[in-house]
Amino acid sequence: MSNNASLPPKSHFHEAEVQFKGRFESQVWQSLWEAYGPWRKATFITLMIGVVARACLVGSANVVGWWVDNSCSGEECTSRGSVFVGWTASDFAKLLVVMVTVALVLNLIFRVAIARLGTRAAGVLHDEVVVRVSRFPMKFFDRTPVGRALTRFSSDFESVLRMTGGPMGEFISLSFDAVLCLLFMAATGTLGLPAALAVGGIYAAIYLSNRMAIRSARRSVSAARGPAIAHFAETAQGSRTVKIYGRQKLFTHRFNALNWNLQRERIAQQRKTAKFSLQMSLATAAALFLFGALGLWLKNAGWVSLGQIVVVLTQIWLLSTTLQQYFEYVLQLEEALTGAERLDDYLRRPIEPATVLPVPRLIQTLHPMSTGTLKQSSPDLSRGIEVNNVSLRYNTDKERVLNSVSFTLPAGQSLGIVGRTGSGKSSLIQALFALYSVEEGSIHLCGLSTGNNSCTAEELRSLLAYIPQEPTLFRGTLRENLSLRSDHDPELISTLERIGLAPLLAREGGLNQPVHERGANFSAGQRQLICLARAVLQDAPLIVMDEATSAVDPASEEKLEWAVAELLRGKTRVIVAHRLTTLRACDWVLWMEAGRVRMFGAREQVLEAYLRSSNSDLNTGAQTYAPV
Amino acid sequence: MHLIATLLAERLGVRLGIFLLGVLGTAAALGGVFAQKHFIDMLQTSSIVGTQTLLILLAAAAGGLLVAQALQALCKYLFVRESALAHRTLAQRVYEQTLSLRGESRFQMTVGETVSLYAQDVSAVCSLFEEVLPLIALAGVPILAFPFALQFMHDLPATPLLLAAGVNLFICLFLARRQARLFRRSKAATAARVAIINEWLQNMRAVRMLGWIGNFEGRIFSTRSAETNARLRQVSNGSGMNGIMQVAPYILNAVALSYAATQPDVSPGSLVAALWLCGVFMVRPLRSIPWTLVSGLDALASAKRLQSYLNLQREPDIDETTVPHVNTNKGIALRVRGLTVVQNGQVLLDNLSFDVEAGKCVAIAGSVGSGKTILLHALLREIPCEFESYEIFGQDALQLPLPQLRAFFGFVPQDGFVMSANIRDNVGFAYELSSENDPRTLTQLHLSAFSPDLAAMSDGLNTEIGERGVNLSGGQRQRLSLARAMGLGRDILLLDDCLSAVDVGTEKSLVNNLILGHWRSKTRLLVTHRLSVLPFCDQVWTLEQGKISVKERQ
Repeated sequence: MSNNASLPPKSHFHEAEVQFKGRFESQVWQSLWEAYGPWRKATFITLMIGVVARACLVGSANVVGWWVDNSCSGEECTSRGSVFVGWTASDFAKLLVVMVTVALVLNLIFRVAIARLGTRAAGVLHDEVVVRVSRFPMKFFDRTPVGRALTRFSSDFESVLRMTGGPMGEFISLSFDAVLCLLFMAATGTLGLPAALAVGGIYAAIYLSNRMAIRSARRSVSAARGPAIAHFAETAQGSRTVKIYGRQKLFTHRFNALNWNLQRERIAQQRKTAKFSLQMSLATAAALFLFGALGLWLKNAGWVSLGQIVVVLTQIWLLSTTLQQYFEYVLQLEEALTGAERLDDYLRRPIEPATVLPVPRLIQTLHPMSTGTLKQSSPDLSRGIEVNNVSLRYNTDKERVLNSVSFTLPAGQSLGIVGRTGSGKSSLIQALFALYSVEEGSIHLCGLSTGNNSCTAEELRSLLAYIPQEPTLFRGTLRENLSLRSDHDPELISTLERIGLAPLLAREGGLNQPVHERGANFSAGQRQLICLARAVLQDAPLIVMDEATSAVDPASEEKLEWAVAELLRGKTRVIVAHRLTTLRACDWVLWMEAGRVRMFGAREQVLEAYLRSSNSDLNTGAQTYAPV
Repeated sequence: MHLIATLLAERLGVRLGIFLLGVLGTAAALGGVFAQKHFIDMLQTSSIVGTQTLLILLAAAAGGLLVAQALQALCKYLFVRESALAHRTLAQRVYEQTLSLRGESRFQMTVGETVSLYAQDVSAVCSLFEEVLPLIALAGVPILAFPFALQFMHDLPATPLLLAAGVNLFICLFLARRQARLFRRSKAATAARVAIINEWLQNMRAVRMLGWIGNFEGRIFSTRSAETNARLRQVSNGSGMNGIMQVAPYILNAVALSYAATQPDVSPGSLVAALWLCGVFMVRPLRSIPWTLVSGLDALASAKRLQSYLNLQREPDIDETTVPHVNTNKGIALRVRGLTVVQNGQVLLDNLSFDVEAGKCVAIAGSVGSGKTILLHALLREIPCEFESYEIFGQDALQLPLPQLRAFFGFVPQDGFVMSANIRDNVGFAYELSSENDPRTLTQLHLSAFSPDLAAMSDGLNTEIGERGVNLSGGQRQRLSLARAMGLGRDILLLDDCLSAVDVGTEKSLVNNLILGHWRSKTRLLVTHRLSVLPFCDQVWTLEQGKISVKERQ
């Protein structure tokens, strides 16, 4: 056993995490622009208010300059503006106070408004991404770890939200400041503008030369954070196992290594940030000195007044510090833009075939949209399930999981599907639900198919009621887990009673009682019955049931059998069967083997052949085990 | 507070030094301002004073700024290092506490909450070093010193300035406290949103097949909307705070100059110095006050949470994991008398007594919630429980240190435990294992019916699983845990419903090859719902209402 608690290797997961070049495609800006859509006018007005606020503040430096000019006495002064003749010091002071007060009020309005608008816009972006991710091809979810997709909606979204809700306003203020400084400097004469451009150019150069290093440092910190948190989470979850096997020391050692690695990356990041700051400071100091000396010389040559020098010097000093902060903010903002870039990536990925986005949409992408009018063909309830020469593979470089599968199930009849694990049963079910596109062939449900665009995938799936193998319940109330409609409680109650779940209704809360994550507060049998009730309530023409393999308590078993026979009678049923008793109740049987149809026909012949073969692994109620 | 005091006290000398460095920077800044004041004053009479002197003054002004900012950057960098060191210490303490928490304490917090102790709270407390201390050094001193500097250099009264600064700070503090509260609320709203998004992503297949996309989307939208509302309140408050502090330098400037206006002969140098100090130099310190106040308050709240977590009862740290030398082949493996477990006032196990012979297989059945898992945890003394007597292979278990007691047992939990590592490491339950034991690992995986799953993984034993790797199903995790238990060679096996998520064929394989096969000479306690396996166990216990009824195999 190696004691080297070095770091975990890079993930070899199928689809590597996309590396963003940081070039920020124009469509990211477009998405952000559209996210502000409903509030564009308000945003514009807010920005104008911000400009005025900043102008008042920055202009106060000018006021001081004029004050200096005015109070200058002696031959050295070359008084410029005659506007302020006769102004006393207290006049200037009053002007200052007025400007600052106006600035305070307007700035507050600006900052609060821009932050609120940004928060709303980020919300729009979030929802638009959700709508698309809901419709991503199933392949995406096979290849992407949940953790990575979740990061989009947690860390990445939060970094966008954090920026738009605060620092963005600061950043815009700084941009205003910089521009206003430039304008004021230009207004004071020839010395100002070239100085400004020179200073701006130097800062931009320093920023560009440090940018990549800081970005990569930030990425390293992010990359180091994940494993440390994951390790902590695992330990919290499974500390019992760790303790029992006496692995505390090993795990602690590992954690310390991962955590220290994260800290090291943070120190390295700070070092790079400090280096950047220092370079900026050096540039600022140099600018101050050089322009000060230049101004001195110009004054001696009589080309500029003392007041002018003061203003220009102060403006340069203001500009320098403003630009320094500005570029520091740009670096921070990049983090948010990276988050926006990743969200934008999800925004524009292809969605599954035969699917449309619901309207109205605030951000326009190239995906097909719902037209809003129901023009799809209606299902033909006299037809059941027709599978015609269907072949399917999950991945272009993998083998086919379904090969030329054909069968027809007339309406109102039931089909049992048998076969060993890996024979293609679940692939067939997923194909019925149009979760994956078939390579060849077609599937018609009640005469509709996604293949010939007669309906969308969503419409097709609404024809099917699904009872999963592992009962799938979600956090919420019992009512929410039974039906999407909010207005038919009596039906819910009567169905639950017929199924035999009346005791559940008697529990505290009735239909409002809570369901914990994965339905953990119900027994296995109860969960299955609830899923069955849900399927019954859906009142769909086709039922697909993936029979549970585990035995539940005998009471629930009985109820299930009865419910399946009675409540689903008359519907077209497809059942992936694990029990002999279930199969005996089916009209037709489909025997799958290695992705092909081994045999399809009426129950008696197929079942007999299947049981005779050595491949049967049905639960006949009596298992045989090797003697101990 | 106790926690923070301890953290601060470490490396106190170093940290004081760094603090002084920051203060030195402030002094340099002051020097620069001083030089600049004289520069302006002497500009007016440059024909008398030499250009050289003026240039020196200018250089001092620029130099002062440079030195100040350089020292600032250095101070911040060094404090970040200190923060990292504090983080290392604190995180380790939290981690070790998590590992050795006594059973009952674990029930008080969810896993998510525990993780956030590390992911959020430790960082929040360490931000004291990164944010608060640097700010005090770099801003607190200037804000205090500059009014006096102005008074000293320019006869501008310090009191009004201090007063103005004080009012600003007070408003800021008030808003910061509100901010901390609003921030907590919006964090809770965010957690709710992320939880439902997590559920949605984890169950996407089922959600789609059930036709519940619209339903889930609606719920996501409404939680997102609730989060947005919480955030709106938070950012309004925060922006207000920032907006005020952004203008604060200019307010101070206006105050200073208003008083200057009352002086008879105020020099241009004073005017410019005031502008320079307030409008340029104080901008950064003042601007960072809101964030720093919020950080500080957050740090205090986090410290409280961490302190109460660290105060929870933990098991003593004992290293000993070697099992005392006993004969495990015959005799009574477990002899328990009077086992009682009470939780939340409910009696879960009621005065149980039983014997398990070495090498026998006991099935434990009973309805959901009847206490089967609790029984296993009690045998491991992982939860609060009372025994009249408890013997393992003749040893008095109640006298054994806990690690030694547990060393007798192999434990396979119901949901399986997966490390973020590859399969090889998961089976061997260690990190960075070499491939020399692979044949053995493969056998273990084969016996636990994992081979077909392994064959489907392109990287084989090197396949990464866990949070950032392949997502294993419930059944796969169970079988992996079984393979792990095999390798660790314990004498008594506690299997918590390890057949719940497997199909009939796999169950047959597991029972034949492993439970009744490879492990046939081990003492096995198998919690199960599978009725099919009961006839093949030596004893069947049925737990009902906290009591056992025992049935022997015919």
